[in-house]
Amino acid sequence: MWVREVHPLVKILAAALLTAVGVLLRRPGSLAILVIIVLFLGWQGGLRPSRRMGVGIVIMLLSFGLVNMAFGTQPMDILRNLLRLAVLFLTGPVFTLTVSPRKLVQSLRRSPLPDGLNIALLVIWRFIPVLLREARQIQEAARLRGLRLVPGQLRLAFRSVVMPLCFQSVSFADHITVALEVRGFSLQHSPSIMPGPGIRWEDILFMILTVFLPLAVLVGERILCFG
Amino acid sequence: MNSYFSLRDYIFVALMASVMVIVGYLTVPLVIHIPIPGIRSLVSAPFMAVFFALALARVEKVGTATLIAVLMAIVYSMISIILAAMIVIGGVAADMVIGVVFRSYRTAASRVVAGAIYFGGHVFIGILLGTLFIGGDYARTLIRPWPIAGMTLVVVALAVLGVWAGNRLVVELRRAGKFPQLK
Repeated sequence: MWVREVHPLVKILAAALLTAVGVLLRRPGSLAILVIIVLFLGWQGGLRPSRRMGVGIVIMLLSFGLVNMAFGTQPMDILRNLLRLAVLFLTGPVFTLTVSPRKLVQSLRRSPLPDGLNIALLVIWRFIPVLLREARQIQEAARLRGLRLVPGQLRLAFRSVVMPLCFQSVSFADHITVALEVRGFSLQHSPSIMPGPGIRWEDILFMILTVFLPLAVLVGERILCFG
Repeated sequence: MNSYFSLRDYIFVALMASVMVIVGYLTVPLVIHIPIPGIRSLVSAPFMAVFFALALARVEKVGTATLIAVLMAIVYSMISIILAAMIVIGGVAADMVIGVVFRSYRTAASRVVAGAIYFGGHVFIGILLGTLFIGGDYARTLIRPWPIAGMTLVVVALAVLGVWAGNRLVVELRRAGKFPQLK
């Protein structure tokens, strides 16, 4: 699983570049190569989609294909659009789900981003699961009291789900700030001296696969009319 | 060197951005299989706008919308780089307009305008980018003034409703001493 060892910032840059190349490519053959590269990297990184997720992706692509057909698009164009959509929607998840939050934070701390932004990202990473659990509990409580998410009950949904979530998140924010301040944390001095990850052979191999190969496909398509 | 945003601001904005991501996580799956551009914003905007208004009211500084957008964009880059770009453009646009017209997010009107630009911008830029990138007859049919303007206006109306609800909550939170008092 060497993909997991790649520098997180290299992955973010590669994701942006792959997406850009995906937009520029015109032939289904070239786009298929890009999809194969992304799927290979995901497989190498140990990503195995659940059955539910797989069904969801297939339904989304099928419905997109059907809408294209309804607009009278040619079959080859539909295939090209589907492959481009696959590149756009697979690149991000494949690259970010193979990054460990610890490594991402270490890399961000070494980047020229402001310390506050790094802390904010850490808070997001840490508190999304906590707040999600909180939101589900609030939703469950509302459901037990007979709330159904239908247009007629929108006002009630706001009162029973959104308002409690608002107050809870405001309270969380106050607690986290106080907890950081009493521990002497400030934006003026860095709280950590931990070094960030450096560039390794995995990064170079990753760059060859995600930068040079897609660029070669682009050049091949435009100059050699390949794909 | 003093930071433009305080630690309290960063934490609050991060928490509100997290809740906005969660709201998206809870509402978007309801319509994920409907291939109508802008439908995802339509269901999530009124709820997200409440938290957007809270963040703007608490921090009050110009740049808050961009900060929320950047934080959300980093999370949404897991789904799509285009989605991330569209969120950042919406945030920057809202801040630019508010910076010139209102100078801060102190007033309820400034937050309503920011919400309209932020969420309306998402739909407008999202439809435009999505259809341009995917292209074909799908794009040719949708890149017309009426479908884009219609969906944008509906989302703007819902976002304004959400910001209005958020502003009402801000009044309650000010009374409870959780938010800065108006001078």
